[in-house]
Amino acid sequence: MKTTRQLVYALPLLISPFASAEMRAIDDMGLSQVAGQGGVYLSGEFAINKSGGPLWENGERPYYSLVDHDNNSSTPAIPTIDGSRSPDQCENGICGLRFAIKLNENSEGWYILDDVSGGLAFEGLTLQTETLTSAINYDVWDSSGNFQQLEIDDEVLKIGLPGVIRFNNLKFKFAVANNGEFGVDPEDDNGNPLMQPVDPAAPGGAMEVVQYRQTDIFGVELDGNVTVQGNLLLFPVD
Amino acid sequence: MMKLLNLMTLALCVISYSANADLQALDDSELSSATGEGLGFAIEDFILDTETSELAVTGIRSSAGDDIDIKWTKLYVMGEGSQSGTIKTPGQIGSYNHPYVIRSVRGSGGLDPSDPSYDARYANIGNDLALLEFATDSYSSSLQNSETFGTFSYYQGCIWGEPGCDNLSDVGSNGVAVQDIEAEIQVLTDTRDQIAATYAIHLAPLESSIELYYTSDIVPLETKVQAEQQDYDQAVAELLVRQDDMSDAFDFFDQNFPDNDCQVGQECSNADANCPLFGGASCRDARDAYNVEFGEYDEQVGVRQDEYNQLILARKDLDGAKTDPNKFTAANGSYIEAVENVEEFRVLCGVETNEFATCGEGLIARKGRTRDGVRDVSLALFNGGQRRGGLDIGASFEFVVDAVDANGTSSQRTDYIDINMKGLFVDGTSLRLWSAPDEEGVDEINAEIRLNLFIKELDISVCDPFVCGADPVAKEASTLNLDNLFISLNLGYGETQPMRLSATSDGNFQFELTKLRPGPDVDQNDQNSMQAFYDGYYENSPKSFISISDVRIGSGPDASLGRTTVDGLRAQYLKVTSRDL
Amino acid sequence: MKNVLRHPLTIALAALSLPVCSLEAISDREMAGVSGQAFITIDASSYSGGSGEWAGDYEFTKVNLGLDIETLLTVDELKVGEFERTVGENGTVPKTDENGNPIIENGVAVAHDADLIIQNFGLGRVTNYQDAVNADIEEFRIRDPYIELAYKIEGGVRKIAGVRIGFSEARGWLSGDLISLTGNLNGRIEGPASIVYEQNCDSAFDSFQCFELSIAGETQLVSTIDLVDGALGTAGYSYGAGPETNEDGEVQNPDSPYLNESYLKRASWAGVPAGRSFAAPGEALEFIIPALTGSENCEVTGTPACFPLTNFQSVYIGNESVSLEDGGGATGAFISLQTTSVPWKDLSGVEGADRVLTQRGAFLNLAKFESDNGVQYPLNLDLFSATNGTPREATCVGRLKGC
Repeated sequence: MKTTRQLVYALPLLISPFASAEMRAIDDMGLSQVAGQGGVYLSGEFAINKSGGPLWENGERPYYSLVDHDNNSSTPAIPTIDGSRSPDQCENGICGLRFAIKLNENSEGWYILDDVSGGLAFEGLTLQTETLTSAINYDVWDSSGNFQQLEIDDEVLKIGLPGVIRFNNLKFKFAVANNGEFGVDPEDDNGNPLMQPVDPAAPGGAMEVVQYRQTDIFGVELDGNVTVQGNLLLFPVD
Repeated sequence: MMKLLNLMTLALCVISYSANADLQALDDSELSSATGEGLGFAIEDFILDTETSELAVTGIRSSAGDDIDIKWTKLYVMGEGSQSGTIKTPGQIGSYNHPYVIRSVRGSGGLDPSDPSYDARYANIGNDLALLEFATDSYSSSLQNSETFGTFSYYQGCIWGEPGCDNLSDVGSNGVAVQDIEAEIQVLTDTRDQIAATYAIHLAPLESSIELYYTSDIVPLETKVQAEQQDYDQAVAELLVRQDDMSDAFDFFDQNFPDNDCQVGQECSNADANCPLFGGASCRDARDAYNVEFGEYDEQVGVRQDEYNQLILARKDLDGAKTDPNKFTAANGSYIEAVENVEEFRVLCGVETNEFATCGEGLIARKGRTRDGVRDVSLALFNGGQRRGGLDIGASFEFVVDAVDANGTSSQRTDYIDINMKGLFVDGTSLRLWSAPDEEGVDEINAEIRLNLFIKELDISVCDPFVCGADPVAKEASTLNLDNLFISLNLGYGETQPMRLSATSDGNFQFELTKLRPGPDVDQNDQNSMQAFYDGYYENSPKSFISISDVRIGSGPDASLGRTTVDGLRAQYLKVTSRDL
Repeated sequence: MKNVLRHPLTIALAALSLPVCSLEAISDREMAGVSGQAFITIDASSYSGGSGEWAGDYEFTKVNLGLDIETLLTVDELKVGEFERTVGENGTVPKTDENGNPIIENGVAVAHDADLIIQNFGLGRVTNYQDAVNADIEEFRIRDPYIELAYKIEGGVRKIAGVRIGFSEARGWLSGDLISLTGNLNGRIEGPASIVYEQNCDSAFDSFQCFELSIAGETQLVSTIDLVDGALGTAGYSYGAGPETNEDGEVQNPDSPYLNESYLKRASWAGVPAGRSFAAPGEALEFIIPALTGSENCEVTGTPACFPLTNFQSVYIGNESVSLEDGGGATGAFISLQTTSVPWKDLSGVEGADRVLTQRGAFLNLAKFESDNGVQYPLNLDLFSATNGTPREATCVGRLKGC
């Protein structure tokens, strides 16, 4: 049932490897004997709109035109479903997430990351702090070509990449559109529909409503295991 | 029922290792070693490989509108030496001492260079603006700096380190690369010396003579040529009108009285007209009408000829004033030669120079600095220096297209493109973003990009892996090799010429390098002030360069197409708008 | 909510929920309005109808980019295809000085270093360049650039044969010092016969030719110019590539060493090649003119017919009086690199044009193209400017070039 799927999964209980059946506070003396590396080991699974999102549940996205219900041009027009344009059918009946970004106030268009859906899972992302004792300085070397090893004593945050990331039909599409909301005709500052000349060569002539328009540029689909190894170091710099 | 915006479901399994549970505050001395202005990051031992997963690129179509099925069959990012991704070699992306950085800084525009917070890198962005900078690793030694090393590789002509290109006798302070660029500089210096030797007077007086000659001699002649050109154009227009009238009159005559031997464009005599003696009045009238039109046409032909002759004379005079050495008395040679020589000298020695004897900031100086960089690299290699390893990046695509042959019949065809980049470096790259009001006072995101990309070897193979997978010779024959590809792309120059990205109302994106914007401290109505502004831009804004030391397509003796360079590319204005095909 | 959407860097997550109407098929027009064709398309083609060195199976993949570009661009030096070529082989012409004397090194004539060398290259121009206050930019317009890869199938193996970058349409000023050029540069010379008369004859009775020319009056003479070998005193002097035939099909330049070449390599001169005549189409003296005005030894009845390429500092690509939107752009311009002979598709639109036959090396195609007014040439000269060249259009403020 859809409703059960929409419930947030409960966080699992924290499990401490050193717990005994009866929990009691460990005193400072006990704690300081616990030695070894600090760190966190993470496994995770993200799924975005795996079975569609809450908005376009029926797998289709309708178009809206701006209708001035109270015939008053100073109050904003209301987006109303436009029966003359049939809705956009999402792939496989699953409509993905949509991000829309406008880079400046004057820009008429939006950059869109559309139809983002699918899942990714990883196991073994580690997070710890490490004290680096030496680091290579590539700008100095000796006569045999060996790079200088600088002695340092700095802490860095080290994130170990999980090794394998499993993608489960993750897909997205990059597009450009003239409105952030899908299917809604763009509006001017007063909330009225934007107008444009019917014939671009005759700017003073008849005007028509600017309809919603999106240009898909390309899309990517990813499924399967990807090897990602390495250690990401994060540290402050000047 | 509440509908929640359920975007993510997160399952976390957190297992804590044994940790020093006792937290202690960092004391001040530990904190102060990091000023925290920026965040540095580096990835050590990085491997990315999509080996068993399936990727696809969607949304690309053919001109006919058919979807093209593109399978992205391979993507890897590894360390150098991975042999096209077959050996999982770890790569280094930045390092602790040479990290990638994200930082937020203030611009230095308007600050005095002696001010402690002045940073020359941000001198073109106002001090009242904060910018976000993303920068890759940077190196101070010429050998590790990919910009100087890339230039060295271009002049050396081969991929350093590969067999056949590792002979220490080819490097050093007088190595192959150094000699090559010295030869280039020599040609430029010779040209400069030649120009300086041509004139007995100094550069400044020569330039004023040129100016003077231009206003007193050239301009009046140019005005005359323009006037004559107008007269000629008018005469031609009139001739065409009269030609039409004449043709119409002839057509009328010829259609109604076809029994004639007359020709359009010539006078129609009585004999040729063959008008009947009796009842031929209308014929004769038509003939006369035509002859009148012909007469006017013929007269205009003469007028046009005269105008043309006058135009030619005026152009000859103008040309004479420009090319006759006797007319330009101020110096040796003709006016046009003087103009060209001065232009050439300025290119070589810069705008500021006022003497033939001195050579300031121009092409020669720039090449000199390039040569110094090349020499540093050459010397470092000679003394045993090594280049750090770069990255190997590769991607393969397989796509099914409808191929159309010459007759228009289409058949399905599977194309393969396998791209392998060996030894890729991007050090010295930076992207800067800031928000500032545009010409209308509306805030906009502005950007500036400095991209330094050096790839030791870029291979593009188009052979079907089933055929070439086991046949390295066939694979080599089907590959486009670019050696020592170096791209230094500099887009944007602070507030003077920012880069802007936007989208249009019909769903297309737009990228713009704006026209030059003089700042508030430039008087836009003053010639000298504006010219100084332009000169400052020409001298200081960095140019872009693309160089490839060898383009090889396939294998075989004739496979090499030698070097390719785009040297000193600058866009004083660029606007790219996408459109539907 | 709507105000939020208007601010910069706003991330909008659509959150309206409204009932859905009944489904209807989307017509093509509606489809087109909603989701555009997008700016990248890929086309594939094949060709096997060539002969001679262009015989064989070729396949092409063309990536079209739907872009509208306006620019003022300058390049200090553009050098493509810097490899060894021997003078006399494959139509390679010698390097010369500005007077046409060939450069000799170690007793042999040498060619330029690279197939294409253009210095101070510029696209677009600056108007009022001497007036820093009122200077403005006249952009070069490019529409729909493309990248095409050519493959040759040999023995079942597909090999890359060449790559080209071209513009579907281009319009604007193209400037540069053309030091070395390999490829096609088509131009048209036109002028009244009287100018030839003017420049050569003091009176109609100087010679039979002068008499004929004096009758010719302002018969418009037309000829086309191509790259020629401008090296004085050499076997190839004044010849262009290929045979020059008259209306009867007779070869007029049988002594040309470039008779069998499709185009000259590393040329630095252009003009009316030897054996080609002016034509006077549709005029009364059209039969006499060709005989009178045959080009020989870089002269046409005493008028110079060959000019150094550096004379032509700027050319207008396209039609200056028609805007790009109305079809005023030149079509079919491209630059390519090949390692073997490749027959590229000719996109100039000229009737009868099929393939552009290229050989190993670089190739710059600035050829004639089809426009509304018929066939147009990128280089249009009259007999006067041909000798004296076309001046450089400024690409900097304050000076013509080199900034």
